[in-house]
Parts: sequence; C-alpha cells; structure tokens
Amino acid sequence: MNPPTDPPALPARDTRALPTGDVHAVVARLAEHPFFAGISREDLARLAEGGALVEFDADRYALRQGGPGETFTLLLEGDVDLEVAGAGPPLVIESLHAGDALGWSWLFPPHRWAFDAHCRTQVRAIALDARHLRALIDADPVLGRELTHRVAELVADRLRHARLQIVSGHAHDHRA
Amino acid sequence: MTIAPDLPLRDPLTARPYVVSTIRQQTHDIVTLDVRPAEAPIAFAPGQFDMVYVYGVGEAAISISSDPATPELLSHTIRAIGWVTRALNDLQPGATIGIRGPYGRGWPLDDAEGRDLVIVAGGIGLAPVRPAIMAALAQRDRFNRIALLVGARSPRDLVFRDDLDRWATNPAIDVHVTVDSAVRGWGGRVGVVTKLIPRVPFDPDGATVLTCGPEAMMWHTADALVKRGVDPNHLYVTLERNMRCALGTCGHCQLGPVFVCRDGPVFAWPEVSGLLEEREL
Repeated sequence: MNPPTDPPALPARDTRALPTGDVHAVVARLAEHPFFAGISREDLARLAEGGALVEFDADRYALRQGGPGETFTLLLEGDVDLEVAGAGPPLVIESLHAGDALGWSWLFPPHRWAFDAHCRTQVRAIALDARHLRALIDADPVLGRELTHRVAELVADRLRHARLQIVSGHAHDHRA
Repeated sequence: MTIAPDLPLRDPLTARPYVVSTIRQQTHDIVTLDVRPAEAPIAFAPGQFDMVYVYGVGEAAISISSDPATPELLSHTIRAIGWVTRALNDLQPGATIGIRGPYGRGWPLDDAEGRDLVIVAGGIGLAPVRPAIMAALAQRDRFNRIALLVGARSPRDLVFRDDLDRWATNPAIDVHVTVDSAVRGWGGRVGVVTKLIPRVPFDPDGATVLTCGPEAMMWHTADALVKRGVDPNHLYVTLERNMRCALGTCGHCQLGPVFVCRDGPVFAWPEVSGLLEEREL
C-alpha cells in the first residue's frame, strides 16, 4: 500500500460522483442496502432526491474529522476505517464494510464529523443529501420517525460496542 | 445437554511432575508453556482444565490449550496477573512444575455433530477452545460448517497467530479475526467480535456455538447469537472462577447451586445466564 496522502484542508472530501443515469439507479442500490431494508420504493425515491452513487479511491478520505455532515453515506463495496488522528500514525477504531452505514453526525447538531473515514480500498457508496434528509424528517413524521429510529439503532449498536470494548479491557487488566 | 465424557482421575489431589519443554511468547504478558509428563500421559477432553503448581509458590487453574490427540505434550496458555501466573511466565525450559487434573466438563462436541459448529473467542479465550478446534478438524466429517470468530484488543494481543494464519488458509474452517483498535496498516477488521456474528455464514437453526472470553463479551455474544436465531440451549460458555480444590468440595468457585470446577467450567447458556445476573453471586 502506498503511504497515505497528506490530509487536504477541511472540509474537502476525496470523492467523485459517478454517472448514475438518473435517480432510479440510486433507488435501486438503496433498495439493496441493509440499512433501508423494508422501506417502500416510494419512500426510497423520496430519500434518494439529491443523492448520487459515488466512488472513493483507496487511501483517500470519505469523511474528514470536523468536516460538515452534508451526506449520509451507505457503503456498497470496499472497506473504510474510522480513524482518530493524533501525533503518531492514525488509530483505527472501527472498520466499515459493504452493507454498513458511514456516520450519523449528519443528523445531529452541530452536523460535524467526529472521525476521519479513510478508504482502505477503493470504495463505492451511495451518498444521500443530508440537508434533504433532515428536511424530509421534519416534513414527514412517519418516514422521519422511521429514519431517525434506524439511525438511533446504529448509534445504539456502536455505543454497545464501545462499552463492550471498555469493559472487556477492564476485565483484561483486572481479572485475578 | 450432552457433555464430553468424564475421564478417570488418578489421585485427584496429587500433582504430578511435568517438565517444561518449550515456552512460546504469545503476547507481551501471555505465554504458552508446553510440558511433558515425567510419568505416563493422561488423556483430557477439550475444555477441561488443570491445576498447575509452581513449587513453593502455589497453584492456579489453567485451561488446557493443546491438542487432545497428543496428551504427551500438554500446553497451558497463561497471562501473568498474579503470583502464580507470574511465576509460570518466568519459567525456563527444563523447569519442573506440578500438574493435577484434568478437571471439569469440557466442550460438548457431540452436540455439534451434524450441525454447524461456531466458535467465538475473545483474547486469551482462544486458548480453552483451541483443543476443541483441533478435535473438530481431526473429525471434520462430523460437522457441517466450522466457523471461528476471534476478537482481541489489538493485533499485538492476538494469541496463537501461527494457528490463525494456518487455519485461515484451511478450507475446512472459516476464520474471521477482528481487533478492538489498531494502528493504520493492520489490514484486518476493526471492531468488537460481536460485529462479526451477523456477517458470518452459518445456519442459526442448526448451529452449536462455543464461546470463551471476558464475561461481558460472552453476554454480548449470547445476545447477538440469540438475535440471529441461535437456540440458547445450543450455546455454551466456559466460566472462570476462583478454583482451589477443583473437585467441588471447597466452595471457592461456587456460583449459586453450581460449582464451576466440577459442574463446569463449560455450561449451556441457560444453565448460568440467570446466575450471572445475580449480583450476590
């Protein structure tokens, strides 16, 4: 693997939109993504407005810590590491893979990413327009509740995982 | 439940001499001691444990981590956390230690016959399931899929790296490894071991699961497995308590109505999940 490139100035993301044809291509991929399992085609079409299929090269960043939460990214192919930058090499705290959702900071103020998302491989993803999603959540209580609930599940899962990491580490250090 | 057959004990309170043949450094604070008996070897079942005695220091209960097909070369994998385990970590080849055992109920491999066998290990928890993996691979036709899910705090905390590398290229077993965190460049999965459970291919209706690790990890593992549809009666855990006599008489390892040393250390999840919720226990 080539050495990572220097982080670009915020809020740049190393992304490019792919020729999607039309919104139907985005809806088709959303329908296959586990995060949206069970959502009607009609609602998927509403969610997909302003969205695009995107691609990131390996060793580039899908998101930058502190950058604006403008997109909700659903991974279709490839591996992404959530990283904490520090004095030494970046620390990977979680890897995400096809079928995972990348980040929830787009939903909650101040809408800033908490971590870097570094692409370990070439990545293909769906990037939904976060501003549009937030407006949709406010305008449609039913769909808004469903989407918020799913994001909350994601947050709860990752909180459980973080706590498990803490208590397992505690057991590791103190078991007699 | 079906439990590994009891194996006969000879003089269960008498330690027999064993000579340390090799010491394998697994991590910065974990070693595997390979020992050979000065007397005739004693058979053991996967999941059983020994009382390992450092003369002049004391005894500790340690799971057997070697191949049950070769009882003449016995392995114990030990983290240095107390007087005895530190003394064990400081031994040199040629040293003599005392071992009594094997004790306890082992992994119920018979329960997995004709089913998928899923093994979930956290950290040094790979050591007590390693004999079951070796036994299962030696009798591969008895099982459908065999999947091994391994988690560790970091890449440097992974034990039995050679085995993991070898098994990863063995089509007889499906190996998935993850770590809680890693410096960029690790290349493998990062996240808790329970994250692997929804992704690994196995039939939850027809799976027997063996799991070993910190209790918090086993709780979360059990939750994730049941959520996926695994029958808790086919989910087995091994518990670690303060074993002293190893015969179910002294009571140091008592967990409510059970003695972990005698009735375990391997239990079906429904046998102990309620007991583990009791704060007083």
